[in-house]
Amino acid sequence: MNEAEPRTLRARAVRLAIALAVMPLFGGWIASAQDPDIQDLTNLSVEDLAQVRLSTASRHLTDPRKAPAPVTTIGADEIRKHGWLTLAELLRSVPGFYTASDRTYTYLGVRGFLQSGDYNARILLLIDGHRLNDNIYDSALIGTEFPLDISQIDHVEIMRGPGSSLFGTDAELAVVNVFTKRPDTKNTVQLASEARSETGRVFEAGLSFRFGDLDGLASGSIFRSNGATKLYFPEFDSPVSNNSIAQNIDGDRYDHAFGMFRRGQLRVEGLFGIRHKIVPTASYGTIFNDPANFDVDRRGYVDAKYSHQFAKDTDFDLRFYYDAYRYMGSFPYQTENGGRTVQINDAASDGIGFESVLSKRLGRNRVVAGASGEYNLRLQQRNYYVGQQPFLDDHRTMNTLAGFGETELNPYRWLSLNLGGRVDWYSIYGTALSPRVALMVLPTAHTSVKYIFGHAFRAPDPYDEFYVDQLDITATNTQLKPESVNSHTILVEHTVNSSLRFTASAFQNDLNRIIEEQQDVVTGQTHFANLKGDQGRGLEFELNAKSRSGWSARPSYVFTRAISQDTRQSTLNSPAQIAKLNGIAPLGQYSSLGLELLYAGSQNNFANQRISSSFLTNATVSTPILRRGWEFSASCYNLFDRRWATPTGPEVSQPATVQDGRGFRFRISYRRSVEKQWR
Amino acid sequence: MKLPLVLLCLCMMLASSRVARAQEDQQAVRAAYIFNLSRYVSWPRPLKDLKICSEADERTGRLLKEILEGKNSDGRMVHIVLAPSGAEQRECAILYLGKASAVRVAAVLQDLGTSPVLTVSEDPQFVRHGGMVALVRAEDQIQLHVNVGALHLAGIQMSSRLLSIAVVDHAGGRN
Repeated sequence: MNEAEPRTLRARAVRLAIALAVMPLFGGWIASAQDPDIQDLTNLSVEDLAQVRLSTASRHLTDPRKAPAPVTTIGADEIRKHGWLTLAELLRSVPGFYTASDRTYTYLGVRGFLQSGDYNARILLLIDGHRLNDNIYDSALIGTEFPLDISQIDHVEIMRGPGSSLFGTDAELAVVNVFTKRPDTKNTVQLASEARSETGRVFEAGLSFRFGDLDGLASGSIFRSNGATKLYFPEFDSPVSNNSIAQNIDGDRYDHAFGMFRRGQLRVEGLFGIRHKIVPTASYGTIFNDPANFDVDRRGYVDAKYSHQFAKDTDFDLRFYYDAYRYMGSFPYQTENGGRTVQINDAASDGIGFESVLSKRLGRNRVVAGASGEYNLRLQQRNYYVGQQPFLDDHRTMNTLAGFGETELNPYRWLSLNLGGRVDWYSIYGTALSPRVALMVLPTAHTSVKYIFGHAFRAPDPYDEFYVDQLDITATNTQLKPESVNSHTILVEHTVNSSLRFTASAFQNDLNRIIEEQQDVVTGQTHFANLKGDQGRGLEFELNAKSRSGWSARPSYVFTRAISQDTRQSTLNSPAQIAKLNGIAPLGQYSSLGLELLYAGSQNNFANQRISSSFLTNATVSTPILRRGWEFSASCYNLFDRRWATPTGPEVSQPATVQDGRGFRFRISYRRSVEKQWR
Repeated sequence: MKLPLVLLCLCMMLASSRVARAQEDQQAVRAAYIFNLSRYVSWPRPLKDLKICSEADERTGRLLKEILEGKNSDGRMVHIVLAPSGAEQRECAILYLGKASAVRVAAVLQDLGTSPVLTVSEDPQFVRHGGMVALVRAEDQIQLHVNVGALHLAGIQMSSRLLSIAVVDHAGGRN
């Protein structure tokens, strides 16, 4: 490329940018007079009208047919009828999604990509638009470590594909936005209790209140479980290791608190969750069957959002927040002289930030633009042996700024073009640009064909960049670069009738510069580095069927081939085929049966050992809220008690982690409205 | 390179009417609520047709007309009357005041007295000041606020199905 060409290309890019920016203004003058889209909602029941969510300046999808990505929405009714215990179990029902658990954390795979030990850093997790990925590990916690009760969820929107054009880092493979329930129109108290297998028990209490123009809700819960009484690990077969039996070393517990209040267009929300898990797998070479091996995660935030309409065609949202995360891990090790010592890893992050979004009509088009910023006043990682000075004591701060925008253009009723992009700046890592383009053709009122291209990134986090321990004592001396994904999707959606909808898609994801642990061949020590990347291609099919009598079915099948760009071999933790069925059938007037069938094909673990496929059946019988406010539910998980396991990473000696056999859950809840309204 | 750019620009220049969904969504939900009010409310006098009058702004009025005009509500045909006079207001089954000012609202309520006209507004203070129903935006939802005392004074009855999803205010009648 000679010297003249870069200038020519830059000039062309500038001309194109100017044209794209100016044309919508002219478009409003010469646009043909077409009828606006008038929504006639008069066929909705009053109860459904009360549940309709309005679009706001923030990134809400208004017409699912024109959403620039495949989106699955799962509501509270389906959560109840399937008896899902965690967000991970809900996500496992989404086409192309699968999970793995190392009995400490639950990991999510999307379209053939799951990296052990990355704590779901390639999935962006939001609660009511607030980012839940922490600023140390970028972890999206989805198992019992998720800090919100699943009973507090109103619905979850899962967007498959890159979302960095609007949301920034971590939105490489999917964006999961959890929406919490809204306050009742009446003052209400709710209590619930659960009994689960392995002495699991849950107690929940909540209230919905209204005080004049102010309404809100508050809830709290505790969960305790002893876990599996005995877990067998043949890798530790010796009398010293209790003959391979991890005995009462699987305990799990959490405490949650959630509250929100709103007045007019102001909403304030706060959340706190603490989760303590004992680790039975003797990960990272720790002493087997030692109860001092545990992880504690604390997560909390306060988020205030204000929405305002400046004029008929301008909406504005402004959000301020404080966010905090604490981690502590305890790792018992044997000393060289046969004694015992405990290593503590802890981490802390505190940040304050803002986000503003403006939505405006320009003539006959609509444009959304926004900005966000965050100041991480503490990013801290420490490692030390009890009674000794830390050998890792990293403290730093970080600033981030971002600008983003999206516009939807509709030259004709049957053609829609969605353009979006975001620029992120990190004080430590520099700048990242994330564009997204979606072309949508709507040949009929019932069919849409979409082509979507998106580029997303994941910035290195402090754990990737600055962590050291006994194994990883050389914090990388080459600054890590953000990893990225280029994603192409062709999506066809067809609504056969009001009861039946069919979706098919073909996708290709190219992950580049993957941040992964790499071993130095000379020293044997490890550090994080940018590796070449993976490529995944596949096909996805989903059917959505619903009847007015209450029957519904959601079968899906996904075929994926994910390979390493380096070796051209299949990647780890990647089942080639995933099939599932979620069905609901009414049982008389007052109950329903929820049935879930989940198949995941065999996959390789980190040592290229083949881990068998899994087939699970889960069933739940549940009632809605009955006459006097009572609600009941009984669930059986892994109904046929099939043995199944998920691949592990290099941090443990087992090739796979054996998962639970048949389990049960019984739930009872009581809800009472209080008529008195305080003024 | 030039032809695709020209085509792209043409597409954008011919961009059609894609009215902001945020505003339309709100009013569409309110229009649907107003239609449901006509189905779940009973008036003291029998109504042959259902006259829904609107004092809201022009765009809202046009939307109500496009969505509701000619619809059948329990055997009664819906007619939309925009900007009704004082005398016409007393003949309405439902009077929608939209975002009318407090002064205008007070004048209308004073003028109507205990006439069996179901008054509806978007203002959250409306039911406290004697109005009957408010369709209030709370965050990203439209909530139904109801003043049962005002309904009772006008002889209008509301179905328990609507009351069960409403924020019920016992403020009493019109000022």
